[in-house]
Amino acid sequence: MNVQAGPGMAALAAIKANYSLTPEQRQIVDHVDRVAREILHPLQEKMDAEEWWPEDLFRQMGELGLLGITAPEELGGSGQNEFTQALVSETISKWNPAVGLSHGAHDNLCLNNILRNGSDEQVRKYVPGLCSGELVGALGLTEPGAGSDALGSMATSAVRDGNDYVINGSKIYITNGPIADVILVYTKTDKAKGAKGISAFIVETDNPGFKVAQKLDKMGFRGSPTGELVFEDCRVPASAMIGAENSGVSVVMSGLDLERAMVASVCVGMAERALELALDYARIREQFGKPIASFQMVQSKLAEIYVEVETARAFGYRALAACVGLPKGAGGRGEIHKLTAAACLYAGEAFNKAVTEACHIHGGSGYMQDTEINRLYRANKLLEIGAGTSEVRKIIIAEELLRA
Amino acid sequence: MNERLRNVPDLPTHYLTEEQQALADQASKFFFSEFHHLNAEMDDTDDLSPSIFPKLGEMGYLGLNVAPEFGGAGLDFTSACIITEELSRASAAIGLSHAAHDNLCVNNIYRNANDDLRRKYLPGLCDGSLIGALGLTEPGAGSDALGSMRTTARKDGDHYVLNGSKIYITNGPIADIVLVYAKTSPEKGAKGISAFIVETDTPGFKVAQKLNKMGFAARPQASWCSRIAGCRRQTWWASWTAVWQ
Repeated sequence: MNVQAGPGMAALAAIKANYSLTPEQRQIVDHVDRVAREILHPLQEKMDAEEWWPEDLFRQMGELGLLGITAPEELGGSGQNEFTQALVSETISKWNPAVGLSHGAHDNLCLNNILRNGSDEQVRKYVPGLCSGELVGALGLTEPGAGSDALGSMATSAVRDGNDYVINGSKIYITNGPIADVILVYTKTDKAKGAKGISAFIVETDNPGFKVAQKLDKMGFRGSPTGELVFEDCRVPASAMIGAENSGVSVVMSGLDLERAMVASVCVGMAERALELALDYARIREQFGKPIASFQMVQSKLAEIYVEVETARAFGYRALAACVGLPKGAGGRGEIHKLTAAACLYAGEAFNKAVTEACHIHGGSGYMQDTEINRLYRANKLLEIGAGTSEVRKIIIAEELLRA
Repeated sequence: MNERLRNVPDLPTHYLTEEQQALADQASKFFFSEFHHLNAEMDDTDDLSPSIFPKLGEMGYLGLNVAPEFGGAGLDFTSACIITEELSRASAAIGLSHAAHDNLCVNNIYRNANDDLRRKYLPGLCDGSLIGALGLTEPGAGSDALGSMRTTARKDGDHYVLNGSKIYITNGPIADIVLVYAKTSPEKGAKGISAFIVETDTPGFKVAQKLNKMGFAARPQASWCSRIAGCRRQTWWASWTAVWQ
């Protein structure tokens, strides 16, 4: 094995130590698997057909211990690390991708971000409600004119006015936007400074300057509410700012690293489900007098799907292990930046291949919208777009590789 | 190298004649102005406007390969494909419905049916007053369509009685005429299959469900799962069946 001595060694040792699941993680995954299968899986069909979100679902998830995975127990959380949080995401997404997506936006993008970057006062104010599900969280970064160039093209601004900031602008494709109580919003506080002029705010959605312009009609992950948000002279106290003024870029970038590691897990859970469905169907579907699983061309697809699932899992877990103990303010650059982008890139593409073949094995029935495999197939596209497109992920990897 | 796979550039197989190019240009212009703007709504509602088929018929875009004496356009097969391509460019869903009608049903009847059947059905299918479909796939018969086919047609005096179901049938929910494959001699396997024309107002026919598809939602009225129970047809179909086999 070609191992180089140097600062990378400690990180590698940490990865190795965290690589297999602890008994506690196993126990958590088993619990989540059971409740997700029994409670969330049966909701899929109606959520997809009607873009329906069950009204009390966050509260219910709170009672089941699915929220605040990384929050300290004294604040109502589970006191686990990001690895375990991703395992929870993986398992929920396997049984109900739409709930998995909303859960991730709430627990990772909003709650964990406040936990890592917020003041003690902010953490005490919001985290307990987010852990119980009494509050629903979201994160607002993307704008109509700011996608891959999220930081450079960001047009939403926050202008200081006495003890307040006044926010103007709009955010789009915001998961949980239409139902959120608390939104972590990125804005420009100093446009002249570009990405260095970004600040993060916590906006409560009962603010009169906030409104949901529209709930969007998606191809996949239907039921997870996605919206366009508008801020019109939305006045928030200076105490709503996360960290110091113009320090938002490190919050964004480190948050995106953790998000990508989580998205990789979402892909793994959904790919695993695609494999299960393909296996079930291949065993029961008979043509030419035999189960189609007996045909080698179908067997070849099943084997390939399995390889996609397990390679994505192996890479995803490696990236997650590296996220554990990531110091506050770290991330957004260096090894973790590259590794999480790479795991996310790989998992998104692996899930694409896996679900395409799994859907194909289902023949005509896989083309019908009301089958589970079709819901998984339609959900795929987002996983190569959200949290940075595949192309943006590649740019990150190459930039880090080429950095002198 | 395998001779059969060699590309022979001298053969102008994929070049259009001037007439074909003019046909493509005219079709493209018409399809874009008439149909393209309907796509979003068709996808949204999964419904095909009842005016589409008559409009296609009026403009001469139905019965593309059918001789003029039966009401068709009398075009060669390549020209028909050019029109299908242009229609699909403007509206994939209408393109799919049109192909199921014009190729799978109409051209099939034109090529294989006897003159009585052609005279009876083709004029309506060519002017758009009748919509056609073809029923082959069944819930248990996909890739193994012929071997696993369960739909049967049993001879009963001057009639045949059809029983079974078909699924994923494009135009199924809106069709007036369905060309249906059924086993008349199940013991003969693929050699025991006969084809029938079923009119969808026959009491033994019904659309079990309209299916909710992922794409083409503008819809070729999707697909149906029909239960053909005791469809009684006259014996002149028997003669057609003979032609078919």
